Amino acid sequence: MDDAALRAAASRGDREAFGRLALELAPVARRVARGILGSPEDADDAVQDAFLSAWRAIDRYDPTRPLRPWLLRIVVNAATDMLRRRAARPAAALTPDLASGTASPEREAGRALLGDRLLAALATLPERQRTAVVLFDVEGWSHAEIAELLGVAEGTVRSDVFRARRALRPELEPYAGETG
Amino acid sequence: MTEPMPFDSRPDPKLGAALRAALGPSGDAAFAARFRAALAADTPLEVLARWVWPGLAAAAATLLLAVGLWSARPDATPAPTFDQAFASGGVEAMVAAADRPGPEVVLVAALGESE
Repeated sequence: MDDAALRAAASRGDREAFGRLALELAPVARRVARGILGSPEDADDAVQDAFLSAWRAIDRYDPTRPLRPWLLRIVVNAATDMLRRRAARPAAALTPDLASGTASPEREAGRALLGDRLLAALATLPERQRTAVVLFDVEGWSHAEIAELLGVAEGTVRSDVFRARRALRPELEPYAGETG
Repeated sequence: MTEPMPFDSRPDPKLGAALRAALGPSGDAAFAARFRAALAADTPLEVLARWVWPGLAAAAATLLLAVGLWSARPDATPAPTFDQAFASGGVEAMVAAADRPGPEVVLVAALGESE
Protein backbone atom coordinates (compact mmCIF):
# COMPACT_ATOMS: atom_id res chain seq x y z
CA MET A 1 0.00 0.00 0.00
CA ASP A 2 1.57 3.34 -1.01
CA ASP A 3 1.49 6.51 1.03
CA ALA A 4 -1.63 7.95 -0.63
CA ALA A 5 -3.50 4.68 -0.16
CA LEU A 6 -2.42 4.54 3.47
CA ARG A 7 -3.62 8.12 3.98
CA ALA A 8 -6.95 7.36 2.36
CA ALA A 9 -7.36 4.22 4.45
CA ALA A 10 -6.42 6.06 7.63
CA SER A 11 -8.92 8.80 6.89
CA ARG A 12 -11.65 6.15 6.60
CA GLY A 13 -10.79 4.92 10.09
CA ASP A 14 -8.32 2.15 9.25
CA ARG A 15 -6.46 1.87 12.52
CA GLU A 16 -3.60 -0.20 11.09
CA ALA A 17 -2.99 2.30 8.28
CA PHE A 18 -3.01 5.19 10.71
CA GLY A 19 -0.62 3.37 13.03
CA ARG A 20 1.85 2.76 10.21
CA LEU A 21 1.77 6.40 9.11
CA ALA A 22 2.14 7.68 12.66
CA LEU A 23 5.07 5.40 13.39
CA GLU A 24 6.82 6.52 10.20
CA LEU A 25 6.68 10.05 11.58
CA ALA A 26 7.51 9.01 15.14
CA PRO A 27 11.31 9.62 15.03
CA VAL A 28 10.81 13.17 13.72
CA ALA A 29 7.92 13.81 16.09
CA ARG A 30 9.89 12.57 19.09
CA ARG A 31 12.90 14.75 18.21
CA VAL A 32 10.72 17.82 17.76
CA ALA A 33 8.84 17.12 21.00
CA ARG A 34 12.10 16.59 22.85
CA GLY A 35 13.42 19.82 21.41
CA ILE A 36 10.42 21.59 22.92
CA LEU A 37 10.16 19.69 26.19
CA GLY A 38 13.72 18.64 26.98
CA SER A 39 12.75 15.44 28.75
CA PRO A 40 12.60 12.34 26.51
CA GLU A 41 9.90 10.80 28.70
CA ASP A 42 7.69 13.86 28.49
CA ALA A 43 8.35 14.03 24.76
CA ASP A 44 7.20 10.45 24.26
CA ASP A 45 4.08 11.11 26.34
CA ALA A 46 3.31 14.20 24.28
CA VAL A 47 3.84 12.40 20.97
CA GLN A 48 1.65 9.49 22.00
CA ASP A 49 -1.09 11.81 23.24
CA ALA A 50 -0.85 13.77 20.00
CA PHE A 51 -1.05 10.67 17.82
CA LEU A 52 -4.09 9.41 19.72
CA SER A 53 -5.74 12.84 19.48
CA ALA A 54 -5.11 12.79 15.74
CA TRP A 55 -6.63 9.33 15.48
CA ARG A 56 -9.76 10.48 17.33
CA ALA A 57 -10.01 13.46 14.98
CA ILE A 58 -9.16 11.52 11.83
CA ASP A 59 -12.47 12.53 10.21
CA ARG A 60 -11.13 16.10 10.13
CA TYR A 61 -8.07 15.08 8.10
CA ASP A 62 -8.22 15.72 4.35
CA PRO A 63 -6.55 12.67 2.74
CA THR A 64 -5.68 14.65 -0.38
CA ARG A 65 -3.20 16.65 1.68
CA PRO A 66 0.02 15.35 3.25
CA LEU A 67 -0.46 13.78 6.63
CA ARG A 68 2.97 14.74 8.00
CA PRO A 69 2.35 18.48 8.58
CA TRP A 70 -1.14 17.83 9.96
CA LEU A 71 0.13 15.24 12.39
CA LEU A 72 3.24 17.18 13.34
CA ARG A 73 1.19 20.30 14.04
CA ILE A 74 -0.79 18.27 16.57
CA VAL A 75 2.47 17.01 18.08
CA VAL A 76 3.88 20.55 18.38
CA ASN A 77 0.65 21.74 19.98
CA ALA A 78 0.63 18.83 22.43
CA ALA A 79 4.27 19.40 23.39
CA THR A 80 3.71 23.15 23.77
CA ASP A 81 0.62 22.56 25.91
CA MET A 82 2.58 20.15 28.10
CA LEU A 83 5.41 22.67 28.42
CA ARG A 84 2.96 25.33 29.59
CA ARG A 85 1.23 22.97 32.00
CA ARG A 86 4.48 22.10 33.71
CA ALA A 87 5.62 25.74 33.84
CA ALA A 88 6.55 25.35 37.47
CA ARG A 89 9.05 22.63 36.61
CA PRO A 90 12.47 23.20 34.96
CA ALA A 91 12.25 23.49 31.18
CA ALA A 92 14.66 20.63 30.59
CA ALA A 93 15.71 17.50 32.40
CA LEU A 94 19.27 18.58 33.01
CA THR A 95 21.76 16.30 34.64
CA PRO A 96 22.68 17.69 38.06
CA ASP A 97 26.34 18.25 37.17
CA LEU A 98 25.43 20.21 34.05
CA ALA A 99 22.80 22.24 35.83
CA SER A 100 25.31 23.25 38.49
CA GLY A 101 28.12 23.78 36.02
CA THR A 102 30.41 21.35 37.85
CA ALA A 103 30.73 18.55 35.29
CA SER A 104 33.79 16.38 35.63
CA PRO A 105 36.73 16.98 33.24
CA GLU A 106 36.20 13.49 31.78
CA ARG A 107 32.63 14.25 30.86
CA GLU A 108 33.61 17.70 29.62
CA ALA A 109 35.80 15.91 27.09
CA GLY A 110 33.04 13.60 25.90
CA ARG A 111 30.74 14.20 22.99
CA ALA A 112 27.83 13.30 25.20
CA LEU A 113 28.33 16.55 27.00
CA LEU A 114 27.93 18.45 23.79
CA GLY A 115 24.48 16.96 23.52
CA ASP A 116 23.70 17.90 27.09
CA ARG A 117 24.91 21.44 26.53
CA LEU A 118 22.93 21.77 23.34
CA LEU A 119 19.78 20.55 25.07
CA ALA A 120 20.39 22.94 27.94
CA ALA A 121 20.88 25.84 25.51
CA LEU A 122 17.81 24.76 23.56
CA ALA A 123 15.77 24.81 26.76
CA THR A 124 16.58 28.48 27.27
CA LEU A 125 14.99 29.43 23.94
CA PRO A 126 11.35 30.39 23.39
CA GLU A 127 9.38 27.32 22.34
CA ARG A 128 8.77 28.54 18.79
CA GLN A 129 12.49 29.03 18.23
CA ARG A 130 13.16 25.50 19.48
CA THR A 131 10.63 24.06 17.08
CA ALA A 132 11.88 26.15 14.18
CA VAL A 133 15.56 25.30 14.56
CA VAL A 134 14.90 21.59 15.05
CA LEU A 135 12.65 21.42 12.00
CA PHE A 136 15.02 23.51 9.89
CA ASP A 137 18.47 22.25 10.84
CA VAL A 138 17.67 18.71 11.99
CA GLU A 139 14.71 17.72 9.85
CA GLY A 140 15.49 19.79 6.77
CA TRP A 141 12.11 21.49 6.48
CA SER A 142 11.93 24.73 4.53
CA HIS A 143 11.08 28.06 6.14
CA ALA A 144 7.79 28.03 4.26
CA GLU A 145 6.83 24.57 5.54
CA ILE A 146 7.67 25.55 9.10
CA ALA A 147 5.77 28.81 8.73
CA GLU A 148 2.67 26.91 7.60
CA LEU A 149 3.02 24.41 10.42
CA LEU A 150 3.41 27.08 13.09
CA GLY A 151 0.92 29.48 11.57
CA VAL A 152 3.37 32.38 11.39
CA ALA A 153 4.98 34.40 8.59
CA GLU A 154 7.98 32.94 6.81
CA GLY A 155 10.09 35.92 7.91
CA THR A 156 9.24 35.09 11.51
CA VAL A 157 10.57 31.58 11.02
CA ARG A 158 13.78 32.93 9.46
CA SER A 159 14.21 35.20 12.46
CA ASP A 160 13.48 32.36 14.89
CA VAL A 161 16.04 30.07 13.23
CA PHE A 162 18.62 32.84 13.21
CA ARG A 163 18.15 33.62 16.88
CA ALA A 164 18.17 29.96 17.86
CA ARG A 165 21.37 29.32 15.92
CA ARG A 166 23.00 32.33 17.52
CA ALA A 167 22.23 30.83 20.94
CA LEU A 168 23.23 27.27 20.04
CA ARG A 169 26.34 27.68 17.93
CA PRO A 170 28.63 28.79 20.77
CA GLU A 171 28.00 25.38 22.36
CA LEU A 172 29.56 23.73 19.31
CA GLU A 173 32.74 25.76 19.34
CA PRO A 174 34.69 23.72 21.92
CA TYR A 175 33.90 20.60 19.87
CA ALA A 176 34.33 22.06 16.41
CA GLY A 177 36.80 19.37 15.40
CA GLU A 178 34.49 16.55 16.50
CA THR A 179 31.20 17.54 14.89
CA GLY A 180 30.05 17.29 11.31
CA MET B 1 32.86 29.52 13.20
CA THR B 2 31.06 31.96 10.94
CA GLU B 3 28.16 34.00 12.25
CA PRO B 4 24.86 32.77 10.75
CA MET B 5 23.23 35.16 8.33
CA PRO B 6 19.69 36.23 9.16
CA PHE B 7 18.33 35.03 5.82
CA ASP B 8 20.44 31.93 5.39
CA SER B 9 18.00 29.45 3.88
CA ARG B 10 20.34 26.46 4.07
CA PRO B 11 20.37 24.09 7.03
CA ASP B 12 23.52 24.11 9.13
CA PRO B 13 24.86 20.54 8.83
CA LYS B 14 27.11 20.71 11.88
CA LEU B 15 24.46 22.13 14.16
CA GLY B 16 21.88 19.79 12.66
CA ALA B 17 24.03 16.71 13.23
CA ALA B 18 24.86 17.71 16.78
CA LEU B 19 21.22 18.44 17.59
CA ARG B 20 20.08 15.21 15.97
CA ALA B 21 22.54 13.25 18.12
CA ALA B 22 21.44 15.14 21.23
CA LEU B 23 17.72 14.76 20.61
CA GLY B 24 17.92 11.06 19.85
CA PRO B 25 15.51 9.46 19.87
CA SER B 26 16.32 6.12 21.39
CA GLY B 27 13.93 3.33 22.17
CA ASP B 28 12.08 3.37 18.86
CA ALA B 29 10.85 -0.19 19.30
CA ALA B 30 9.64 0.47 22.83
CA PHE B 31 7.80 3.59 21.73
CA ALA B 32 6.26 1.77 18.77
CA ALA B 33 5.04 -1.07 20.99
CA ARG B 34 3.61 1.35 23.54
CA PHE B 35 1.87 3.42 20.89
CA ARG B 36 0.43 0.37 19.09
CA ALA B 37 -1.01 -0.90 22.37
CA ALA B 38 -2.53 2.50 23.15
CA LEU B 39 -3.95 2.81 19.64
CA ALA B 40 -5.47 -0.67 19.80
CA ALA B 41 -7.14 0.16 23.12
CA ASP B 42 -8.40 3.54 21.99
CA THR B 43 -12.01 3.80 20.86
CA PRO B 44 -12.70 6.74 18.57
CA LEU B 45 -15.54 9.02 19.60
CA GLU B 46 -17.45 8.35 16.40
CA VAL B 47 -17.54 4.66 17.28
CA LEU B 48 -18.95 5.55 20.68
CA ALA B 49 -21.33 8.01 19.02
CA ARG B 50 -22.59 5.27 16.72
CA TRP B 51 -23.73 3.34 19.81
CA VAL B 52 -25.38 6.27 21.59
CA TRP B 53 -28.75 6.16 19.78
CA PRO B 54 -29.12 2.36 19.72
CA GLY B 55 -28.14 2.36 23.38
CA LEU B 56 -30.68 5.02 24.28
CA ALA B 57 -33.38 3.24 22.24
CA ALA B 58 -32.67 -0.05 24.01
CA ALA B 59 -32.78 1.66 27.41
CA ALA B 60 -36.09 3.35 26.54
CA ALA B 61 -37.60 0.05 25.32
CA THR B 62 -36.49 -1.70 28.50
CA LEU B 63 -38.01 1.07 30.60
CA LEU B 64 -41.32 0.92 28.71
CA LEU B 65 -41.45 -2.86 29.07
CA ALA B 66 -40.79 -2.60 32.81
CA VAL B 67 -43.53 0.04 33.25
CA GLY B 68 -45.96 -2.11 31.24
CA LEU B 69 -45.26 -5.18 33.30
CA TRP B 70 -45.57 -3.20 36.53
CA SER B 71 -48.91 -1.69 35.64
CA ALA B 72 -50.29 -5.02 34.35
CA ARG B 73 -49.35 -7.03 37.42
CA PRO B 74 -52.31 -9.04 38.93
CA ASP B 75 -52.24 -7.41 42.38
CA ALA B 76 -52.55 -3.96 41.01
CA THR B 77 -55.99 -3.41 42.63
CA PRO B 78 -55.73 -1.87 46.11
CA ALA B 79 -56.34 -4.10 49.12
CA PRO B 80 -59.77 -3.59 50.83
CA THR B 81 -59.90 -1.71 54.10
CA PHE B 82 -60.42 -3.64 57.33
CA ASP B 83 -64.02 -2.41 57.58
CA GLN B 84 -64.78 -3.64 54.06
CA ALA B 85 -63.17 -6.99 54.87
CA PHE B 86 -65.06 -7.22 58.17
CA ALA B 87 -68.30 -6.50 56.37
CA SER B 88 -67.55 -9.19 53.83
CA GLY B 89 -66.89 -11.61 56.70
CA GLY B 90 -63.77 -13.22 55.31
CA VAL B 91 -60.94 -13.84 57.77
CA GLU B 92 -58.37 -13.97 54.99
CA ALA B 93 -59.62 -10.60 53.71
CA MET B 94 -59.34 -9.12 57.20
CA VAL B 95 -55.74 -10.36 57.54
CA ALA B 96 -54.85 -8.96 54.12
CA ALA B 97 -56.60 -5.60 54.69
CA ALA B 98 -54.53 -2.50 53.97
CA ASP B 99 -55.29 -0.88 57.33
CA ARG B 100 -55.62 -4.00 59.43
CA PRO B 101 -55.30 -3.46 63.20
CA GLY B 102 -53.25 -5.67 65.52
CA PRO B 103 -53.59 -9.48 65.42
CA GLU B 104 -55.71 -9.58 68.63
CA VAL B 105 -58.39 -7.40 66.97
CA VAL B 106 -58.38 -9.57 63.87
CA LEU B 107 -58.58 -12.68 66.07
CA VAL B 108 -61.50 -11.29 68.11
CA ALA B 109 -63.30 -10.21 64.97
CA ALA B 110 -62.70 -13.58 63.34
CA LEU B 111 -63.85 -15.50 66.47
CA GLY B 112 -66.88 -13.25 66.87
CA GLU B 113 -67.73 -13.85 63.23
CA SER B 114 -67.42 -17.60 63.62
CA GLU B 115 -69.68 -17.71 66.70
